[in-house]
Amino acid sequence: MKSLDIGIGRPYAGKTWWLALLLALQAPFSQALADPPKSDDDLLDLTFDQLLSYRLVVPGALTKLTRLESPAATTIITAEDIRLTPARNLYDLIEVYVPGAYWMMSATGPKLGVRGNISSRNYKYLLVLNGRVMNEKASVGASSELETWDLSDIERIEIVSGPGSVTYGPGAVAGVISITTFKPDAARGDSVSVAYVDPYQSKMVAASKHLETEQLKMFAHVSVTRTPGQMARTFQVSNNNTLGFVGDDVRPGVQPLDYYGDFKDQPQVKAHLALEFANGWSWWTRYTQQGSNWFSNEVKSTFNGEQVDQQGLRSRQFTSTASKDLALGDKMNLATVISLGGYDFERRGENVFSTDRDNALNYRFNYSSKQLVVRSTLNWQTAGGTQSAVGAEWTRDQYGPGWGDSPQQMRMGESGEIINGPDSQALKAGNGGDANRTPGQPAIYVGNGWGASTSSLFAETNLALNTEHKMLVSGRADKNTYTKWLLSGRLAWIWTMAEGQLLKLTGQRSSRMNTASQLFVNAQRGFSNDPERLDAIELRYSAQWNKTLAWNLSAFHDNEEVVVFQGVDNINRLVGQLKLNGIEGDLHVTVPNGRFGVAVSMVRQQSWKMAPGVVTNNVSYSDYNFPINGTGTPLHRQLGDGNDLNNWPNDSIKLFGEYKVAPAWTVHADLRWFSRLQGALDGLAGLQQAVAGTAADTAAFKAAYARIAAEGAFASDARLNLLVDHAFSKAWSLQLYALNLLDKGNNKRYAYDEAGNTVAAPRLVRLVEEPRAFGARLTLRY
Amino acid sequence: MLRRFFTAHWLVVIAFACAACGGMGRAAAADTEAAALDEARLKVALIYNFSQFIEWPSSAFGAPDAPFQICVLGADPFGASLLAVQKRQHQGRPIQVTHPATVEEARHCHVLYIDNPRATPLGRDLAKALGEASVLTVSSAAGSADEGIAIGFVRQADKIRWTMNLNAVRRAQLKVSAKLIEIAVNVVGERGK
Repeated sequence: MKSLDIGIGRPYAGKTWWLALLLALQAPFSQALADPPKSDDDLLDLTFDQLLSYRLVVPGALTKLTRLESPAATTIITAEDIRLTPARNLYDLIEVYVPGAYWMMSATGPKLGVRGNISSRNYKYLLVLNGRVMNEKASVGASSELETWDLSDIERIEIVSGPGSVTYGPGAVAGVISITTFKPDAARGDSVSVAYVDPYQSKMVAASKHLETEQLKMFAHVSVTRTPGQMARTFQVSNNNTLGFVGDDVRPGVQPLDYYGDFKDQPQVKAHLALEFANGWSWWTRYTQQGSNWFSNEVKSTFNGEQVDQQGLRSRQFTSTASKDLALGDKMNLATVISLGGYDFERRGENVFSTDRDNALNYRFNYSSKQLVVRSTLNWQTAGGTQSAVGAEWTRDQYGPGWGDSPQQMRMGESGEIINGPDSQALKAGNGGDANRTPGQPAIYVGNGWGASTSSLFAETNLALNTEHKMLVSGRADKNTYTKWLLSGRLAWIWTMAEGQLLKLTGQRSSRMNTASQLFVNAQRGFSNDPERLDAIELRYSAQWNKTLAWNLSAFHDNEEVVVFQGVDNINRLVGQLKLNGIEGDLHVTVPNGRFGVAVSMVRQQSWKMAPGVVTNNVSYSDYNFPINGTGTPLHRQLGDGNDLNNWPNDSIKLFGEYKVAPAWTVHADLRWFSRLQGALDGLAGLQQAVAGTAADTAAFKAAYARIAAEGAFASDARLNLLVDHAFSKAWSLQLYALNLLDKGNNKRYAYDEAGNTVAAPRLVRLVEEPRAFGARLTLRY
Repeated sequence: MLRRFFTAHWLVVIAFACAACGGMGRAAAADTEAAALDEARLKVALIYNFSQFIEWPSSAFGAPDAPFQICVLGADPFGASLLAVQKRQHQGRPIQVTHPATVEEARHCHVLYIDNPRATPLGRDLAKALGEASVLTVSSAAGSADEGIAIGFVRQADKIRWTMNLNAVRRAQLKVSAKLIEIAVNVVGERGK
């Protein structure tokens, strides 16, 4: 069976690719780039002449660009921002600073959206750490790092809003989160810190150590965070229009999950070791463990008469990476990266199919992966300042049972259908949770595991047309064992209008492969594996007017073929075409004792058209044709309503700043305001309209809507955080902070709505009212 | 029309063709731009380099083993990057990074960086307040050398350069290498006096 095609783009199969790439590879590599210094200490060894040759740079391209020149909309969060921002984790931090960024809850963990692009999995953006993609490829996408409370090992975070797969690889459709940890540099000194946050009862201890000898430099960091969590007020809808707060209005006596609680009561762990050797090689290795109780519509489960947190997920990731930048003459540079990694992931569901809590029947996912990545990138410069880069990457992924688990416990795939064999725990006739549960689509046996490889080629040139105009041209091709070649391309024109004022026009295509499990299952069952593609055009103005004032303004149009897993028929396929427009801006003011900023975002859906045969989707209720009462009589069908994105606030404004009120006292505040989630309101209106005048239009149904209105679901929401930092001495500092100081909107954190209701109940209304929280952090530097 | 233009076919073909053309250009001139850096890190390295090309009078040090002090007055845009200089020495003296709160404290500095002197009364009167103290003042504010700061960073396109005020240097009794003056994009005050 072929995938559906709505006629907007075809898999590219031309051989022109190879010709173009060969042409690029034969370029005469003349003189090379200087070897970039690794640390602040290395910089001090450079001469004036060497320093004067350096330019100011930001990411978003393979070749070197300044922050103002970069065609990518990039937000930079520094270590000082991290230190002064009272964020629980990276989701919070990104939501504070990045224009339009917004996160929601789901059964597979928090979901981050950028520029209206949000999904039931975090696979529409890439998480990059020290240049290495850290996404979990089999199912969930970006997962590790993002929930970690301890962020004190991070030097800076660069967030690219919008597509970027041409630079970073397939999957960067919505954006890129690029984390840089502290480099080995003894000058930063060592530190120990402890922190506590109430009412989550989160306790953290972290320590950093630097070391330097003649032969190597070292940075080591370790932290442990234990968080029991808090039973926050949880609003949800059960069948038959029963809705309200769990344990109160709905499901009396039942407890909600412990919000932010550690999964299986196992603490978060982070351990990082980085070494730089005198011969130019760098090596870092990192282990992270994080897991939380996340829900979409679940509550605690009962085992032996006791209510326990059963629903949750955990990521454990180990990565070891070696790299070297080799200078080949004055104008050429070869960067090589070799990386090994391992990822253990498990997600346990709410439903109880076995009295053994950790039996495979109770799991949706339980597996691990091993990964080998090899990448080389060659940069060179030619006459007139033109820069070029070309590179290749090869990745091998091998999937199998979870760490410490037997093959019989392994479960992968959207329905947990990838298992080891007939002796799997996940096969149990007549019981729920069976890997055979989808009719006509039996379990897939893989023994001790299976694997896939991905090959990638990429190139870019940065053409200096004259002193005012540059053209950036980039291309990338990726092929997985189970896909055809995926293509990404970008063309950007960069015009320096005046000193400190640049206008950039960018057109690009970004691509995303389906998850490894989806690719594998689709291939096993004879379905095609067409990629998700996003075509975007963006006009961006960037200005650094003076030392005090800098600002950016972007207008963009996205045209996306949305590919997702469809539970209705259990396959991964194209569900529709989305067109949207947006305007984003940010402004930063720097004054002698402080910094202030504002970030605004307005995103509007232009159109949403479901693919033929598709009846429901998560993107928008504007095109919808779903039988909400199944085969009931009469059949109530919810049709399209409104013209807004679901799971997205159309408008947002963010304010943030810090000010040194006295030599040893600094105050930080940040405010986020999200406007009405109009697309979700459209879903409610559509359901009301579908039921109106039918037998289902009962008093209970109308009462349910009155209750939702009283709760103020999907209305505007504002959050205010505050932090005070006091340095007692050079060694000791104390921070006190508060989250969610305002009551406006009750700080609602919504669950991602996956639509597809099967009863006449507005199940899309699921949320947690996040509590006001207070924290303290004590740090000793020595 | 636009949709057709942005098909993968054309973007990718153009991308590689241009990459190839760019690569096949003539060999680069020796002075073509090199790699790129964060602005704060680059300024720290330049400040450290300034100190190697300037001579302070012995009266600027209270004791033979007194440290060489690099100070930041007001907002510190360098963060941890500046701390790297503390591992180095200046003519046998340890280097110390401090953040003075008053002019009196600033008089003990050898290099004093102030991001924007015009933003505070203290900064506006800095040159007058320091008097003849042997302090090399450095700033990133536009036109700062014209207003009495010894070295003012300026951005030329995407590179960092500086202007110099030789009157301020002379008043601080500092001896500056000719190389520093040669590289400066603008020099305020007469040379050779």
